[in-house]
Amino acid sequence: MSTTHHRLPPEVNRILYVRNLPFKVTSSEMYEIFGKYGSIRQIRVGSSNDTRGTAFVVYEDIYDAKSAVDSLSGFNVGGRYIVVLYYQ
Amino acid sequence: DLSADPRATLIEQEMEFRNRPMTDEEINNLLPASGYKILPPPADYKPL
Repeated sequence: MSTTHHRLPPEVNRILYVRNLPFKVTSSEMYEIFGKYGSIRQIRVGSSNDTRGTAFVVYEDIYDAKSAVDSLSGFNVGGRYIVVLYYQ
Repeated sequence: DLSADPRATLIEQEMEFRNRPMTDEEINNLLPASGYKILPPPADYKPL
């Protein structure tokens, strides 16, 4: 995990908003996919009709969140290409 | 070295601020109040 000191753009933050997830994605799948980029502070998954298939992934370290966004957008989970954005 | 450059220390301070630990309450305030549930980590989850 890089802890370099260069400045990150303002929209970069530790909370990621994920869309297009399979509805029955499991905890180990989520922690497996997102845990590769750094330690995870918390994950919340959509549990109602209009939030199903989306999730929030909170990283401990902002640089890990950035490497996750840079690497994961378009990643295929259960046949679906997930969208990973910084949550504003 | 880096710390000698005042601009770098400003950047470091800002990044430290943006990287400060978040309390559960802070996260609750940031995320939608409803429609989501916290996903418990798998038993064998070992943070990197």
